[in-house]
Amino acid sequence: MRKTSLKARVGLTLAVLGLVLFPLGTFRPNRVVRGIPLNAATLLEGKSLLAAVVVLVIAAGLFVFRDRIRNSMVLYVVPWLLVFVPGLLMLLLSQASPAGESFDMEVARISLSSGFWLLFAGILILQSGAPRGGILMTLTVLFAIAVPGVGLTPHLALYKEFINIEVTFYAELRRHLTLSLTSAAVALLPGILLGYVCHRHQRLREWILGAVNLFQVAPTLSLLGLIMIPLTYLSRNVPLVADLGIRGVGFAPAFIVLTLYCLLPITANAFSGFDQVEAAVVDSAVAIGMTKRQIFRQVLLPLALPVIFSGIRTAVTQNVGNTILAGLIGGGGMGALIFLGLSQSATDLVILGTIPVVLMALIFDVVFKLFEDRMTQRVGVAHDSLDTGI
Amino acid sequence: MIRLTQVYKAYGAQEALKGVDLEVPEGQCAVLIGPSGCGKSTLLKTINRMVGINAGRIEVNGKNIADYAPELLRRQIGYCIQGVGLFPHFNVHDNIAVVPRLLKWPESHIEERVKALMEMSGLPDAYRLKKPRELSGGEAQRVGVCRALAADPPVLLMDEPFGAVDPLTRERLQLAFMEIQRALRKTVVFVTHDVEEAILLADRVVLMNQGLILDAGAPGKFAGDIEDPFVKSFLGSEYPLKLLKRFSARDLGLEKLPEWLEAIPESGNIVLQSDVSLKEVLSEMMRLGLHAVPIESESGRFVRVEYDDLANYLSEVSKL
Amino acid sequence: MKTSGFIEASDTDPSHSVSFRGKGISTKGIRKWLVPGLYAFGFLIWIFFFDEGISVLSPWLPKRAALQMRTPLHMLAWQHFFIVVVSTSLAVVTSLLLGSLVHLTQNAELKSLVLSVSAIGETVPSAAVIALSVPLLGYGNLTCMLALYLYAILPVVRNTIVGMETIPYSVREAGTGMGMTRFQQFLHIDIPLAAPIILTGIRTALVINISAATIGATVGAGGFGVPIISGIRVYDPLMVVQGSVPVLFMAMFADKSLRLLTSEEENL
Repeated sequence: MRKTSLKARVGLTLAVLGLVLFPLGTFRPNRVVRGIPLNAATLLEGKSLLAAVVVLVIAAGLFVFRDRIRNSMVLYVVPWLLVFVPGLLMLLLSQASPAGESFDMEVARISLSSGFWLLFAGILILQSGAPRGGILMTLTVLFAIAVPGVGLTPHLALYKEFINIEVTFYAELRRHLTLSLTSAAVALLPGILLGYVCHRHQRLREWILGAVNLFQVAPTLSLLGLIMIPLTYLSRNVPLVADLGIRGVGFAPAFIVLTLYCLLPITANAFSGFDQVEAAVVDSAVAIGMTKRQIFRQVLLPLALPVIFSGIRTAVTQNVGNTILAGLIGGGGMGALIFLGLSQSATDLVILGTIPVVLMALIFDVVFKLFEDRMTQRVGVAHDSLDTGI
Repeated sequence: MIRLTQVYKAYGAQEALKGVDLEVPEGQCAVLIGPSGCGKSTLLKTINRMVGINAGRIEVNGKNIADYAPELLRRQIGYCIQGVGLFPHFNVHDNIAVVPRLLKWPESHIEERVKALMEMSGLPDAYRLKKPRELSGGEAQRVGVCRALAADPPVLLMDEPFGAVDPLTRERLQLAFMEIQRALRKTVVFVTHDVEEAILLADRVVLMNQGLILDAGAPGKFAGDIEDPFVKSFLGSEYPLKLLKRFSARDLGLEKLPEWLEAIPESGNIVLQSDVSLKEVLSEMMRLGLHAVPIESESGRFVRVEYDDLANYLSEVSKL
Repeated sequence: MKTSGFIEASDTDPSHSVSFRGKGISTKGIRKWLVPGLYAFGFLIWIFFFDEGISVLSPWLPKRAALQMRTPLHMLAWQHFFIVVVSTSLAVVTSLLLGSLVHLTQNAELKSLVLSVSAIGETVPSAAVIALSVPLLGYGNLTCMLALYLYAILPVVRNTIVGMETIPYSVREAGTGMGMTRFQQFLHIDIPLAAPIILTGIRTALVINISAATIGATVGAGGFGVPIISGIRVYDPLMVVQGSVPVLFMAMFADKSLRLLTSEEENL
């Protein structure tokens, strides 16, 4: 007798709460004004919509209590149906307008409110407990992006903000990716080498790890601020530096700080990866007559690769988030959008800047994890010689 | 040929080797035995410079090993350890091929060599692409031996290679090793703490204790009177019995022995063949309760082997 | 005459007295705290004497607009301290309760839910969390504290759950065998043994929060972020340094002190 899934119950509760208790959207006559909350009741003029929602809630309820129901189709159908809910809701919201006065729809816009987000989160949680949960959740998110993406929601605030700065958006997105990925890439080689040095030299180990840890502990903004000074000085007084385009603000300081930040995960993981290679394997490599470099390249590095990859995963995921701060010092990226939105009190611009960052971080995390698992399988565990047999 | 002269090694205040002289002629297998901590492994590792020496001289084939770069020296010496140490990310073929590749052999030659070695050590060809984690302990160690022999080194060093497997597998590995050695006649230095293993494999048994060589000689030598009490107690009072395992009935010279004239004793057992060990012959005598047993020689004769024949053989061997 | 083989502390003569384990006044113990002490010292010197130091050095410094910080540094220090400590403490309390709850109910699905949510939460950058708190609480210190509170829950809850799980079963068995109730076990076994791991989580949360609080200045909070960000906006490097250095000291002090505390916990 299957127990009612906890995730399904939690998810459903959140979703219903969001749907019923909180406003789903906020109608703003223009960008800055506070706006009129729209909740489910307001939206559902027309019985057909009401009926649809009721059906959905009932279906979800059926899903939650499925152990009492013979029909296992419910188990499979309902989470799939829920995939479309956030997207369709966005569609509905986009067409809403409070009864009474007419508004200039060129300027007016509808923001997504806490109710919507709760509903979205609830649906995702419910799906996470269902079979093929990962696929379901991905599809829900994709559909929710696709609906405004193809222009079906012209009055949604997020969409309006996006259209406003479309070219800039893509430019900053590219800049964000470039910054995060290149700084991680540049930190890769020094990180691995430093990890190797830590592995071989006991005495240097503490110093290296301590120094690298320092960059992690220091507040990013602090480092950014401090590095601007020498860079400004250099760019003003050394013509070569200025010619290369390195200034005190912009790409250069952000790049340097991000690279330093990546050093810890990569170095620490490289070190632990090299350490965990079995002594018997290294011994036989030495006895065979491999030079130190050959041992490093053919034995240590391949065997430590899964652990190193885990470090890269951490470094990249962390970088994607940290790159937001580049926006503060003129380095561009999604941070530029976020801080612009903050200064203009335009919440939707802030959300527009945040969502890509979160999605990128999640995508990198999942993709790198897949690579990591594949690599761990290929390298495998060293043979346990305490076996019996021929 | 390996020659060690007055080899001395100390770890700080701890003396591991206190002036060791050892000579291993070409094609012979010298087995170092002794209690834990006697320095046998350390001595082994000085030969391929895994352990450096503080004083003394080590020569392989007439050349001082100190004159070579360590990596180049090691590529000419095969090395087998208890933990095997196969590279987990290489399959069997690539593991065996490591040194030949370092020496830049052509790939076709390497492939031939790998196949030949696998056949010689009793590994099916299907194993070539397997990964170490798919192998049992015994199979892995066979791969280890192949790997050590891959580049056809003149010298082979083995550090308790069969210690980590169960007794049945160990016996099979010992027999496999003996066959390989019979075919290739490498100069081998073998470390073990198991007296029986030493008796079986050695052309020369070298007994060590506390960093010094106490005694050395053919296995048969120790069947007679032993003066040193430590050697005596280490080898054990059952040494002659253990020694019997090394020789077979054939070694007695069956053609010279008289024929078995009585009826074959009814016991339900098959008559012993000429390739059984002398220990089995003695066991058979005890089982039947007789002083003599019939053995079938290669020519089909049933030969009479008596208890006295065994005893005489042992005393002959001990005089060598 | 001793009847047992054990040496009782009371009936031995002084020359064989059993030495007590634990922290005595040893110089080695105090010396470890030198480094964090230096950070704290440097911090205090900076926040109280920065302005005077600048006026002393002013002949050698490049000209800058006479922009004075409206709030003196030690006020900023107090604001930053307040924001971080309050939000992190509340987060620690919440996480301990939540983590203990998850652990005690032994519900695998609940644990998976909490751990997944916290994992996903950690991929959201702290700057984003701060920015997204604005629609909820507007601008100001409270927003920053809410964001930091939410963000700090994630590492601590995860470490609490994991820490309590990795207690070896044999220890629990001993506890049950001695007749402890589940709650007693929780108090006397789970919490002490999980403490080092939990403290590590707290350290992570604290350091992250000290760093994130600097970004709070973008949403109207106080603290060291104010001079840093203003300084960036008006290209005044001195203002940037004024804020960057003390918060650096603060973070390093917190990190080092908690590391020392954790390793002492482990040694007990």
